[in-house]
Amino acid sequence: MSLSLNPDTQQARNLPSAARDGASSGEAAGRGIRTRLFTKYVALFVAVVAIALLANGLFEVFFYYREHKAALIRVQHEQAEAAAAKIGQFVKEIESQLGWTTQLPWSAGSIEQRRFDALRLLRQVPAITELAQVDSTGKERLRVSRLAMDAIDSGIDLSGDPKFTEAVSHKVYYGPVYFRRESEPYMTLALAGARKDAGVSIAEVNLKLIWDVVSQIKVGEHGHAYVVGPEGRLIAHPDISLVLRNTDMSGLPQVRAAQAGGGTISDVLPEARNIQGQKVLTASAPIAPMHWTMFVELPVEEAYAALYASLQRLAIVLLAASIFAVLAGIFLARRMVGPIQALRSGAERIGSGDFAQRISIKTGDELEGLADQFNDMGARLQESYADLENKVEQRTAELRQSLNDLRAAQDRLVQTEKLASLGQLTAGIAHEIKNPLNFVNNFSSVSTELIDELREVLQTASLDGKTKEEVDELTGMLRGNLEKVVQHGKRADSIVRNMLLHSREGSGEHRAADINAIVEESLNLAYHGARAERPAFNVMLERDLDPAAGMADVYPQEMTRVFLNLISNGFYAATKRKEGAADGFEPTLSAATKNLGGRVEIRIRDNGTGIPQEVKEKMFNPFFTTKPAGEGTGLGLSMSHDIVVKQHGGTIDVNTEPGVYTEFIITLPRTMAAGNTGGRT
Amino acid sequence: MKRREFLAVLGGAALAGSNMAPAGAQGRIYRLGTVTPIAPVTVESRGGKILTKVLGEHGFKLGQNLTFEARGALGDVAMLPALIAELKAKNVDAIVIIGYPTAMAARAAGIPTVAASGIGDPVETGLIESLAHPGGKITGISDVAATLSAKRLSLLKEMSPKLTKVAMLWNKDDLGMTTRYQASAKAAQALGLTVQALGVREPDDFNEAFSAMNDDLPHGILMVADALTILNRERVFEFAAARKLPAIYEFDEFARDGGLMSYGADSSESFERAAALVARIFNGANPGDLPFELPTRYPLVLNLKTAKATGLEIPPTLLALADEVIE
Repeated sequence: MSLSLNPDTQQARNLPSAARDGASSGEAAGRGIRTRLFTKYVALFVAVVAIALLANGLFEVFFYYREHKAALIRVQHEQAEAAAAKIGQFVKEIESQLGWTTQLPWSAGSIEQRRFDALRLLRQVPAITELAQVDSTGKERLRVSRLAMDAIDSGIDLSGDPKFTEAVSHKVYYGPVYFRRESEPYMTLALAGARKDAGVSIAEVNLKLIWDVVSQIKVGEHGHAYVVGPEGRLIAHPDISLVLRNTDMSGLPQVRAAQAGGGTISDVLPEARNIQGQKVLTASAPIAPMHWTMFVELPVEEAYAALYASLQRLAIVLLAASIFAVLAGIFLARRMVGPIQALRSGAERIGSGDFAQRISIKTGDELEGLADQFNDMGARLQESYADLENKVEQRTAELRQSLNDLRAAQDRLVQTEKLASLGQLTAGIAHEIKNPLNFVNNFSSVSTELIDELREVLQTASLDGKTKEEVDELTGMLRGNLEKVVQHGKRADSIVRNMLLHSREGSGEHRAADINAIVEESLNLAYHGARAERPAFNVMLERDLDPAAGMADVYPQEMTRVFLNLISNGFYAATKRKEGAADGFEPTLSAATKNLGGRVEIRIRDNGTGIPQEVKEKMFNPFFTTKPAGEGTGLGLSMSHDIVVKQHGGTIDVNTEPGVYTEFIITLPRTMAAGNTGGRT
Repeated sequence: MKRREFLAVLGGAALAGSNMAPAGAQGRIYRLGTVTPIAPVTVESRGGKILTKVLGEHGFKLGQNLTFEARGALGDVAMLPALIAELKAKNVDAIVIIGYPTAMAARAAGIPTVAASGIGDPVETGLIESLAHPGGKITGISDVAATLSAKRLSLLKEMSPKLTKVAMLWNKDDLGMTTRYQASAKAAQALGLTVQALGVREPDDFNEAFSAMNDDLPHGILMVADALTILNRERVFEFAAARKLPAIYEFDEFARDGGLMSYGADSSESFERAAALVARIFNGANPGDLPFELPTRYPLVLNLKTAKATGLEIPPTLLALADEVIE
């Protein structure tokens, strides 16, 4: 599995520190989340594994416990029975040895021979301490002992003694267990001969010797076997002291239970304390003829040692498995949480706007798919974002355009309003001035004619020479004055007429016109007009007309006025420069057109005096002029500006360098905007 | 057999249980002492070997966790308290003793004691309350020598059927031996025998006893074993041989050592049992809680060599019944 954050691992490395700098709380939250998920995964994994193991282990232990216990009880029962058989065999052997002494009838053989046989029997069977032989009438004929002198024909009558009667009627008699000197366990064993007159052999059997048998019975490692008599007295035990102490075992529950059950513990007695106070598992078996009970006991710890060992093993396995589960859980959780963490941080960065972010998870599973989808999403977002930016830019440009248009329109509107009110005012004033001016002009002309009539009249009258002279002089002066009145009257008239023109509504219709033709016509008109006014006028004309300039939708009359105005200004400036310049200077005026696609550009250039900066700022204002009084109205450029910009939606700019040249650049749209068709009011 | 060995064996048998060593607890050293009124029961003695062997089986091994201190009064009974005090000072965990006077001295010293043999009937002599619950700090193997005396006499009579007068040698100073003599005398009377009582107190008394017997020759001799008689046994053997008298003794060692015959408790068994009791004491048992045990085997030992030397003929029935025949 490889995890990396694209496009730049450096960036990835920087991220945590950035996060630390930027938002330690965010990082803390992130850590918190990670820990929780991680812990959850590990805990879940461990829980699942542990529960499975535990359940399995508990089942195993439970069944193993039951089986083990059942097996233990079975084995112990078998052991008890085997031990009981051994004890039974011990007694049976004594019995069969004793049998030899009852083979012969009393009538046969000497008593001395019998004594010898009896002593031999004592030698062969250590357990028999004393042996008595009774004849068929119940009289004791012989008694031999290890400890006492032999007795022959003691004559003791045993015919009423159970040793004799029981033996005669049952062939064999097992007497009760008794303790010699309150210590050593003994039992009387009486055996009747097969023949009627064989009599009875009565042996006192030292049961202490069963100790040899009992102590050799192995019950596990620390268990042992013991024999209890019918009254609950201990007969044999590996600890001989207990026997010699004449221990009463009937206080033990297992002994009581066995005796109640006829020698076998019927109920499963799980655990009980033995005579030493040790917890043991006990099984028992009856030793039939004597009504003794064989007990076999095994310490509980030993009995369950295997069980405990398996429990221990289980615990170890469980522990190991738990540790493994924890490790595996951590490993798996890492595998799980790592990609999720990468996803989270990736998503976080995408969320914070880093759309170039790519998450690389190579786990080959759903997480990788998720990461891929995240990446797709990031790519889409990036695209959409780029799109959006383009559109915003576009819209912004459009809006800016609209705003500009709006502003231009607003400017135009303001200017138009201004000019409209000025125009109305001017028109009103011009109209009012025109009438008195007509009176002044007309009456001046009439007065001039009247002066001529006055001279004719005086011609005829006789007047001395001197008077005549004076009259001539006076009339001459009057005529001169009147001529000046007429001249300035005409000028005033021209101003008024221009004012009226300025305020007049759009002249004529707008239509598609050939720009080059209009420029050519304006040049000719201006040149010839200037020549007519001043025959000495001379300027070089240059034309650079673009044949592709083509047609534009304009008011031809208005545009002609604009061009005339600009050209006249150019003539004036060039001529003026010529006046103060050296002979080599040749005043030149050039006109050029250029096709700009949707627009047409017209340039009028002269090499005149140029325009100073302060003039340039104000030159499009109405009534601003640099010409001497009487030569310009100050409305030419203002009007031209209005016509080009406001009427046609074009532009007018000026490039100039004082003393070198002036160039006006007009651009006109080929088609007038709809709003411009209104023209001026 | 040399006298010393004989004494050692006898002492060992009688005192079995005095030489136990460490067994039970880890790292603990168990100290066993043996005290006899005669020769000490050393590790090399027969009794000592049995003791160390059986204790070894119980986990007390000589040289590992068991030490063995043997003391013998060599006949000087008055030395016994001093010997026992010596062992007590050495912090022995238990002593194995032989003989009634040793038992009395041990009881006075209050030391855990196991009597191996030769102490008579401890209940009768008042040493303990009962066989099953001895009380005090003593346990061991009870001696049934007194009851056996009658049996011995009958065996002696069987050896020599014309026996009517028997001489009895015993230590008059020993209460245990005196009761034994009394029981024997009673049994002899029941058998219709005349008893020639020859109580001795010191070695010099033996000459007196021998001259008494010379004056009135008995048909047989029964010797009651104790320190005094054991130490002087060779003189008795010689006297019996010289006078061609059948004699019966109490322990198989006598027969092995030149006595004609013996009948009594098996000393090997006694030492084995004594060793087992010592092991119990080492493992924490209180001797007073351990019942006295009775011997189970009473071997009849005949010495054919002595019989031949004495010129006595052993009846074939008796020979057939013998548990051990020394040739």
